Amino acid sequence: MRDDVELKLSEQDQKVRAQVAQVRVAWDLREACACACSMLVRGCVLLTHRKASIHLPFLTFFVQDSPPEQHGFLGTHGFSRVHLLLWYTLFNDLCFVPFAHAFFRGVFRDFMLMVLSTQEALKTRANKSTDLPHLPGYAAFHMKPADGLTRKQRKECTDRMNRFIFTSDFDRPPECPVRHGPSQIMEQLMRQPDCVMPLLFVEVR
Amino acid sequence: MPVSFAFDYGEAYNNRPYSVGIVAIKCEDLPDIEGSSLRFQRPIMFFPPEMDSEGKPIGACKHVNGCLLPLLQDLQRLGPKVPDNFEYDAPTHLGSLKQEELGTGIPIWPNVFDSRKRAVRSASTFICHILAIGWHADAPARAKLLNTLSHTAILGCSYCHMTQTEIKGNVKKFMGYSAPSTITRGLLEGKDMQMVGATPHIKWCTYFTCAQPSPFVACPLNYRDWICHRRCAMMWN
Repeated sequence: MRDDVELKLSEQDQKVRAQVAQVRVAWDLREACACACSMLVRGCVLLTHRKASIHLPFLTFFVQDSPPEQHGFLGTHGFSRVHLLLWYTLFNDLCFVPFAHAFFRGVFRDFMLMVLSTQEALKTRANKSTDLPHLPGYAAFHMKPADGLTRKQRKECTDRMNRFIFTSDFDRPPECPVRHGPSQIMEQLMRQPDCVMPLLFVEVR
Repeated sequence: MPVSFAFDYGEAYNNRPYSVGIVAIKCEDLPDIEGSSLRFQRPIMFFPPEMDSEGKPIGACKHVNGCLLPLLQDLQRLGPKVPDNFEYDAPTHLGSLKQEELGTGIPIWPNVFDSRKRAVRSASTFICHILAIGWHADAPARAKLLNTLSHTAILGCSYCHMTQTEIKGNVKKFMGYSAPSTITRGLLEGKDMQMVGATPHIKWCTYFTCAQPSPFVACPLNYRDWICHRRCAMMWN
């Protein structure tokens, strides 16, 4: 029995390995072609002695290349003093973003703005290629353009929000997510999902 | 005793917004409910904003390294000792303390005083070491702490010491590099890496190749993930 199991596993392994090898060969070919193109471009740049203008049908750049010890534009402005002076720190673990900051002001605020946006805005977001990873035809968070709110619905949201009265327990009361959506701070955004949103979208008969 | 620090920019006395740097300390050696109360989170440093010749604040504090130096020296003095088998030379040219001053710690006498300030109970003395486990910081503050490019930089990478290219109009971007540059930190530390773009749309087609021994030898696929996952995510979109 044990031999059979081992045989099956090894067959699966072989299949996976064959697939990986195929992908790898294809990738290497593609990379080699791209590398050859880049070498051609690089040769042009070197021939023209550090200064070249690359003319393309839609873009024109004046590129100035210089060896790394001469120019001053680095990806970083030098080493981190905190990392160098404290011997026990690791560069990868030096900074961390708190959960409230990353979730409420990051993920939740984006989601809230996307839910409250109009159909026209969602259409443009769906066509934007620089946005979050999304399927073609959809905006981020898998929102279709048809899911957007109409102007009447957005006005209804602001009207309801104007009628809300917050007690003094809310140190800084949450503001209207339609009018003041992106400008709210974490303390206000934390109150949105549990205190504001259920009343903002409830159906009135 | 583990402590964590928080660094962010704020507005003080109706100055320019986000101009004053604020550093706060938090004790991490307590349960969550206790440690997250304001009693154990204290602001300890304020960095002044950038001033013009007339004394008006014109921007955020940019000399964070110099302002942080007293705190870092204290942390060096109070921090743990460097083990013998750990290779570390104190960078005194950067304002560090001398090697023998590191990890001194602070002696603590846990005495209990009564209302007349007389010690009623005393325990044995011990030496306390303070360990800075990390920094809470948002994207602009983190860029200042780590000396990296700002969060608004196009394809700014906090790991590589790779070079930028100057484009027309005093704009600098990562556009692909013809010369290999040595990476000085991160997982690819000490390796000569090269960033080559076949087209000027480097934002969408960036890939990395190892310059040695031959520029045509491609790196393993893993290297792509090691360098910067942001660029890879953009590439695969």
